[in-house]
Amino acid sequence: MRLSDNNFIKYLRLYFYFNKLGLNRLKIYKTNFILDTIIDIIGIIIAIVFYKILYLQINNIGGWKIQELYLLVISVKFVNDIYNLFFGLNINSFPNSVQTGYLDYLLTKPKNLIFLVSFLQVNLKVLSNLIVTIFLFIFVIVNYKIPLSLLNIAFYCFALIISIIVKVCFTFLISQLSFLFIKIDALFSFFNSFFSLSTFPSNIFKKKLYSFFFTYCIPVIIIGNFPVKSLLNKLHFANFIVVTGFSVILLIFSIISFKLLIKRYMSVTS
Amino acid sequence: MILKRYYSGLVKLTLKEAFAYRVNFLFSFLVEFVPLIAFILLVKYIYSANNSISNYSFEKAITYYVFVRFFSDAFTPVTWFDITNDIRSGTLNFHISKPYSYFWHNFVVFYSLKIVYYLVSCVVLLIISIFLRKHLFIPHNLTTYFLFIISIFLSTILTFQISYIFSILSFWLINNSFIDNLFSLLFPFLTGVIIPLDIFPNVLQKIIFLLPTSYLIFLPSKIFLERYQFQSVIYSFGIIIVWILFLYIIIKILWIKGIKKYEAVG
Repeated sequence: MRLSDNNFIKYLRLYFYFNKLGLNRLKIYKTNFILDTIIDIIGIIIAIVFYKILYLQINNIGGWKIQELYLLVISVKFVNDIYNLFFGLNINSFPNSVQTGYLDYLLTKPKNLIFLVSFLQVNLKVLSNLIVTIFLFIFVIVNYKIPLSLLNIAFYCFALIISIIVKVCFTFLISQLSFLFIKIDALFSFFNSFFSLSTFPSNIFKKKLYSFFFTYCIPVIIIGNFPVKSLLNKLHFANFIVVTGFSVILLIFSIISFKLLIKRYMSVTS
Repeated sequence: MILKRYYSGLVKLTLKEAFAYRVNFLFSFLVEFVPLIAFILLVKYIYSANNSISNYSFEKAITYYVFVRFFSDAFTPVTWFDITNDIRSGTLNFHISKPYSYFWHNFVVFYSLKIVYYLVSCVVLLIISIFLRKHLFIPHNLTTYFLFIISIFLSTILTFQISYIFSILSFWLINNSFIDNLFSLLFPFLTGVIIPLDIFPNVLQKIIFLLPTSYLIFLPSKIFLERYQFQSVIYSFGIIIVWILFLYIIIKILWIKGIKKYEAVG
């Protein structure tokens, strides 16, 4: 369904009305919001301390300076925060909607179904995490005096968008397996656990097979290394084009597979 | 005699229930093992560039990460859902009116589930061992195995005691998700799952080795890798026993205070 200007405003209005409720909920659970932010900060400190301790023993990993690894860790968190802010609540709960029959309710709505299942709810709790991430990112760049040009920053922003698209499409594809199998919770967390590999420099995947597998089959390298390498001028332009092309293919593939697999959906409530 | 039959029956029942979800167990084990891929590749990369992690040989560094991943599930304290649920929903009434110990009842269930987990996951470990057979360190000294078994036995009790304390905090906390999340982040770090504790800077080591968590996974791994002196291991066992006694008293106090506060909902 193509969106006209009029339609676009209707969707935008729906989006804002729906998420106004989330904002009110956030005001009620202020303490939880603060505690979640503290947990998030501790998580990133641990990831940074890991490299700090490791670098007391070794000089570098594949030419990565320690501050570049800090950027890698923070950039992965950047991708995850944006994913969790706009898509996480929707895509992660999609298998549950299929299992419980909640999808029936969404199917009755006169709106684009992909919009409803992947994009409708914003997780405002992540907003503070995102602010912390941005602050840390700028802090590392300024504190370590990492030289950056405007072009690098533009490339980074573009690469970040590509990474988010890849993460969204990949998790959306995994969640669609719920049309084929009854319970995919364990399978879903199994695939998600691979994303913990994103914070490692791609040099450790020395063999071409590993490198290919973790770029295109389970795209952890695209989510972690791709944006940071774009920022630090460590990426060939050809690779940039290939990854961009891959993200477009993945996007189209995830939409087509959704349209095909939904035909297999059998309501559990009827 | 009756209690003995009760506990053995409980083990059988828990095993039967758990085996019904063996695929879930397999996946939850695989989830634990995915980060191991990165750690092994990282260690390989570091050693291939003529670097080393402290004075760990390549084989010992690889074995360390396989070891801590394999044991991390059994020896990482958690908030035990059965206990928090009993306290919040009021089903604790059923247990406290029975003649068995609530602590040992949960201990049996907790470790019976771990048995299933390890039975299923041994297959995965076997496959990993085949791939890494050239790189794994196997101790040859019989004393090592003897000390290792003692350390595992002590860790088993200590892990459950810490988990039990976190769980019975539900007497006071309506929602302990913050504590749960906090410790799920801190424990891998404090137990040496992320990085060996003996390569931390000296100041951090002094703090970390004061905590009981440093004896849960790191000490057994140190013994298994034969990176120990006999006397220091015996000394560590002494400290663990002191911790076990101390936590035993804490549990008794918390339980008495908690039961007084318990509202027996429902």
